[in-house]
Order: sequence, then C-alpha cells, then structure tokens
Amino acid sequence: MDVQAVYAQIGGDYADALERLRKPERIEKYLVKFRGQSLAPLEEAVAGGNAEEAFLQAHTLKGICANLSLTRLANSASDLTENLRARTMDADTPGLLENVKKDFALVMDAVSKA
Amino acid sequence: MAQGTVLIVEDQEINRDILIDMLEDKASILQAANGISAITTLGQKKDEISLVLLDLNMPGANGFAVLEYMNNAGLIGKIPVIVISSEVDSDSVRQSIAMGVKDFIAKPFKESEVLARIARVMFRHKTAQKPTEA
Repeated sequence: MDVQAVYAQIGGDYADALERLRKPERIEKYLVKFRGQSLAPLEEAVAGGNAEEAFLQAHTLKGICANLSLTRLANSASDLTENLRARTMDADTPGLLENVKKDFALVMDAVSKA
Repeated sequence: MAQGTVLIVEDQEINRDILIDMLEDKASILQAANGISAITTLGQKKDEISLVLLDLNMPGANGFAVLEYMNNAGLIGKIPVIVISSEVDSDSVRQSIAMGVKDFIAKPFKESEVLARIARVMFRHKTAQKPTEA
C-alpha cells in the first residue's frame, strides 16, 4: 500500500501521522484496521433521535481519525461532535452527518483500493 | 517503567492498539475496552498494576466510574492514573483532579508525549512512595 498516496487522496496529513506514531508500518497497520470501522451505529443513532449515542459515536470517530491524522474526516466528525455536544439534535445535524458520510466513504474507497 | 504493568482503558480498538504498540516493549500491558472490564481487572490484579491510562468517554461505565471505584477501593493513591482524552475541558480536568488523576494526555497524542508523561508520573509516584529517612 502506498500510504503517503492514500493520505494525499483523502485529505490526511501523513507527516503528522508519522510524527505521532513514529513508524510507517504502524500507520499502514492502523489504516488497514480502519477498514473495519462502520458508520452504521452513528447513522442509526441520528435516525433514531438518540443524541447521546450519536455524540459518543461521533466523538469516537473523531478521536480515531485525529490519532491517525485523517484530517478531513476528523474535521467533519469534529463538527458533528460539537453539534451534538449538548446531546440534542438540530436542523444542522443531518447535513453534518452527510459530510461525515462523504468523507468516510472517501477514506474507505481509497484504503480498499490501495 | 521497566517491568511495570500498565492497564490501558480505552473503548476504541485502534486507539488501544496504538497505545499498546507504543508501550509493549517498555512494560507489561493489560487492556480493558470499557469501564466495567477495567474495574474487574483492577479488582483482580491491583497488586501488579503500576499505572492506569484511562479514557474518559466510554459507553456504559465511563472513566469517571473507574475513578470512583478506585477511590472507593483505596487504589487511587497506590496506582497513578493518567487520563487520555479529547475531553480536556475545564470541567473534566477539575473533576478528574478532584478524583486523584495525576496527569492528562490530550488526543490526538504523540508517542513522545505519552512516554514522557508516563515516565514523569511514575518517577513522582515512586518518589512519593519512598519512606522518609529519619
């Protein structure tokens, strides 16, 4: 896998990931592991009006992406997390979720093709 | 930290694995994916655990539930705790300090920072545990 190319494609920061995690093989290992992530619990929580669970799911996704320096997805997950921080949903929530879904799909597509 | 045992409490598998990779050649590792599992492990292995790395935001029993258990069981003074969380707002920090947490590591974290903070907390803990010479 050309990890640097994948990072460039998905709006990630490879240099930051390498500084954070120290070893290129670790970055690749975690990217492969990231394939196992699913947005289904987040989508179900939002669809079901469960703001507490949606906040936890968005917050967790933000944390993973930030640690892997998947910057673009981390930012959209962060926006959704802050929208849900009061454990309520508003008119902005669906759009913010759509941004997460779009950025998540970009990551998954690039990682699965690499 | 050599030969010590670190309990990593983190619900997200990738973040847990990152911490394990950073620490596994420096300490023995125990891991818990949620607060209940952490409390069980602390109850069973409290005599061998040297340090707890604790996430705050976890489903079910969160990091504060683990801290509450450690306080009630008299473990908080014996086993130092470092919180690793993106929730480093003032309320979380204030509550954690009040419950005996020794330090904080903000997510996203760097290996160098994780190792440095662990070393500092362990040094302080060992120094504090030494009996005062007459």
